Amino acid sequence: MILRSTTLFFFLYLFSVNAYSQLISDDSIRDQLIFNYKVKQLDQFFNRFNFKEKVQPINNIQPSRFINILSLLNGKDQALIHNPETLAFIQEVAGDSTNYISYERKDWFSIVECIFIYKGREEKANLILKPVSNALNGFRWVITDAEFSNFDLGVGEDSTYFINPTNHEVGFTGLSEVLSEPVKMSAKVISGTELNHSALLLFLLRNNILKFKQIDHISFQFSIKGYQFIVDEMNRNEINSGWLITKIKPIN
Amino acid sequence: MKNAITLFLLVLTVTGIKAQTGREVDLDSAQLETFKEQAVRTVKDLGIHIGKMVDPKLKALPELQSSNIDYTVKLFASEKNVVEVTSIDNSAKPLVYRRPIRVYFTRLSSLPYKSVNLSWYDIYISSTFKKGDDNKYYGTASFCQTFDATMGFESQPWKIHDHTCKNIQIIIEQDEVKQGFDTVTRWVLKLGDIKVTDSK
Repeated sequence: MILRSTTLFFFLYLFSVNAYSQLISDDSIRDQLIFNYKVKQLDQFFNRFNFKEKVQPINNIQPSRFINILSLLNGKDQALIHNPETLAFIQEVAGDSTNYISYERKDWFSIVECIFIYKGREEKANLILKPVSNALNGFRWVITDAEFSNFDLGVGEDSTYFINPTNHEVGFTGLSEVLSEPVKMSAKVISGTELNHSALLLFLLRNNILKFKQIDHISFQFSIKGYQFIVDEMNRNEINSGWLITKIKPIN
Repeated sequence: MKNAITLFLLVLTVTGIKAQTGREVDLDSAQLETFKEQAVRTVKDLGIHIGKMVDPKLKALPELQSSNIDYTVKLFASEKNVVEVTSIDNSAKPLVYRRPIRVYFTRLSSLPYKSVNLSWYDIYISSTFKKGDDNKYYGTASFCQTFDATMGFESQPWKIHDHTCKNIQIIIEQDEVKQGFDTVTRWVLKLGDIKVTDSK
């Protein structure tokens, strides 16, 4: 209950600073203040989360890791800041300096929402990217998975057709039939239809079946101390902006 | 003249870093710190030259504009580097366009501004440079900028107010230069792709 009040107090306080900043007649002072507080890079998010870069609240409140992580929440999301899980998460993480996130660790990845053009219409796909290193500790981002929301090939609807057990004796005429009429490609005809979406993406792009249009949104997912959290970029001309935590949930 | 001085300072800084030879040499933390300082200077330098591109007083001097663009492009690792602009308004979908740096700067310098006021805030450099798969080092510089300009006729001026934040990749790579009969490898700092977020 005390923690909940603290959180509310902090955000009311932060917003009051924000409101105050909007009243500053000199736009350049206001913009400079926003620039200082804004989480401008994911690298800065790491540093603030790990308390390597301290956020100094106004009125000389002593910086702490608890306040640092609070300042990384998307303050516009009332459900997030009032959720007891949010406080439990911050308490769990901030209480121990050995709880940190790192670029080099494997417990985080990026979700990149893309728009592609397929058969003349826009299709959304999420690409999962992870940083991987070579033997010389040099890093690169790698696409490890792709999720096509409206783009599942699936199997055909005709589930009655099958290739009869002695069809091999007649040169697999049944196989020729299903390959000519793909609608007959049911689960009775083909197995292992679990798609490797990365390979599918490569195939479709290389054969100009799918055309990239643009990246719509980028987010990052982290796992730490039994929790998962999502970081999104909040582009707004306010103190509480830039790369911020938008979702927290315990891992079952 | 100012270009020449800036270029001289950049070269001076680069040669101030201990020249290294060999293919796979790592930079130590002290060298990377020095490059962070240089990154700030290079980004400021970029800002000065962008300021010149939009300066209406320099519009009448196309040769100067052309050499200014050439010089600015040389700050980058490659002509293939792009500026990606994302415009975020109240609609659900952001508008994104990508242009090669030279195209972006040429368009910028051709905009018919009557007057321009460009304000910059601090430059934030990422805390660490990360070594890439190609043995180059990568970092990021962030800065925000307020742009006030006037366009149109004097009787009917049209004012533009724009607040944009930019992230620029900083790349430290090995470069081979001739010194007499020898070829010396040294580390140089270049700019990479730029992401501009325009939140009007």
